[in-house]
Amino acid sequence: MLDLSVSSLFAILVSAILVNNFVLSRFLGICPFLGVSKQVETAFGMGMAVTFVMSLASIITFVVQNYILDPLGLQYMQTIMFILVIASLVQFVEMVIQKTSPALYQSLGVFLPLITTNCAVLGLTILNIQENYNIVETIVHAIGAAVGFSLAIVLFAAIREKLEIANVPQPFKGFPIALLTAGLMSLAFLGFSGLV
Amino acid sequence: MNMGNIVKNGIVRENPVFIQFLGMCPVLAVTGTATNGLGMGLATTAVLLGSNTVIALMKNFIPSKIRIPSFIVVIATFVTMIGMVMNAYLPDLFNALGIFIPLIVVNCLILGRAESFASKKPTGASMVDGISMGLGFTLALVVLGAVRELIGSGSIFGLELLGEAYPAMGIMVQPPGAFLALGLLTALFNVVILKRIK
Amino acid sequence: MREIIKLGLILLIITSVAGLILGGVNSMTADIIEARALEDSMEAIEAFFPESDDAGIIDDGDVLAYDLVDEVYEVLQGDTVIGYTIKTVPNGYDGPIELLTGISIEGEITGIEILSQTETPGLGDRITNDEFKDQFAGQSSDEELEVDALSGATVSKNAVVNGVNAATEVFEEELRN
Repeated sequence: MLDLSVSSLFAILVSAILVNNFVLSRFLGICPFLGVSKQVETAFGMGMAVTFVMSLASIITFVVQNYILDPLGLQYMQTIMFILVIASLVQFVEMVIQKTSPALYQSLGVFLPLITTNCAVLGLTILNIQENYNIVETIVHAIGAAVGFSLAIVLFAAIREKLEIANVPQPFKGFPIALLTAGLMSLAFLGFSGLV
Repeated sequence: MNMGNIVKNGIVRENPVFIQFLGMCPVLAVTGTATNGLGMGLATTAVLLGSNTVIALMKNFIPSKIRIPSFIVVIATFVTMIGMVMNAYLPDLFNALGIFIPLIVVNCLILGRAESFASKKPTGASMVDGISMGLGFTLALVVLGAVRELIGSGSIFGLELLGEAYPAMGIMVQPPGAFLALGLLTALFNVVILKRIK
Repeated sequence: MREIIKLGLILLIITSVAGLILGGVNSMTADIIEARALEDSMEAIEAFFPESDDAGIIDDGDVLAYDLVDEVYEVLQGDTVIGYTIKTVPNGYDGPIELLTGISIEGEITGIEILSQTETPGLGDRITNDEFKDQFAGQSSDEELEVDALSGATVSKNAVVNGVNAATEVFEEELRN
């Protein structure tokens, strides 16, 4: 039976955005988080591209798991099927956007190939199944995860823009200082634990 | 190509974690203890060895247009296999690593080696490359895991080293500690090792 | 068009071979995994009820329909039922926790065991310590549980308490007679 109580959906949403933030507490999607976060604008673009792919991938993998893998007893093919779904989805979205909206392609296109190996997407789809979410919960969880990811990456980019002009000791230049900054952000997000 | 060089590249000069910053998700996520770090490192090494070998053997049969999806299928197969074996024989480790076992598939290190090494070089060299990169990755995970476990719970590999009196800094085994410890270790790596190599 | 079909076929062949290999490995490991899970449960049941001779899974839709409840074992001494062991799967801080709760036929909790968990090392994973688990034994299944707080691990502790509560609820409402 579908459990559609607003409070449980809200709990899933808040938990995915703040308490169990995909990037800062689950460590999913660290590569783009560290790699594509030098400017707020590109970070925002990445966030939007990920949101798009996450929502679609969650719905498709839900169908694949419940109507193909489970009935056939092929649960062990989960990893292969899911990553293939995500890879083809990314390719498909790239083609569609390129044909229909060159402007959107200009802004999102460069990020799309990177999303296949973004573990936040595969992680999300596997978590959906592990937590036994129904289709509505799956969609809400996907939105929460995507908003959480975008929030973390945009905030982080804003801090890094300022860091660029700061005087950082030589050995800390580049990645080390970025990691320490992320650590402090993660510390701040730890304050949300117990909220849900 | 000189095998010794491949080994040195994998473990130090092109260390996947400290130099290339690849596969950061598991690096940060499972290093709350040295044991988990070691388990994750070895699982990744096994997948790397398998995928590098198979891809080097198959490179002439795979059309370049579907190269990436084919690589991903090969990698996912090894990941699932390792997951099943771990679940059967090392259940505690399997549970501790949880979702990060299937996520080895999207560890950029593995696809990266397939694309930049195994699909171009002979099989033997690819196997050595897989093992070396895997061990470099494992080394980084164990070091990070040991540092976090020592500061965060006063032990290494579960052995109590600092005794009851030590006020364990729990934050180090929690998510923020992962970022902080890796940031500090990378800076240290920059100072000590890079200087010596140059 | 032709090329796309050819490429698709090649990918299909690779995936099928992968599927076959995995199917083989799966059939080899699945039995081991299942046998080990059963063995873990049996060991815990033996610790909860040292005088027991046998235990069997109850396949009852009503009982299994309860929230969090995953498996229910009936514990036997000779032919008499001396208690139940209930496997519940509450959600912890970081993923599900699998735990067993032993309840005697008189309604006394005889012990709990954590089968699997992924809580934070050094904090949440203290739910696996004996000092924590031993508090549950001896408490009554129809009274509120009294459990000491675990500093820094409230969510993990609450998850275990929820799991045990779910077990006592099923016992009180369905199994006790």
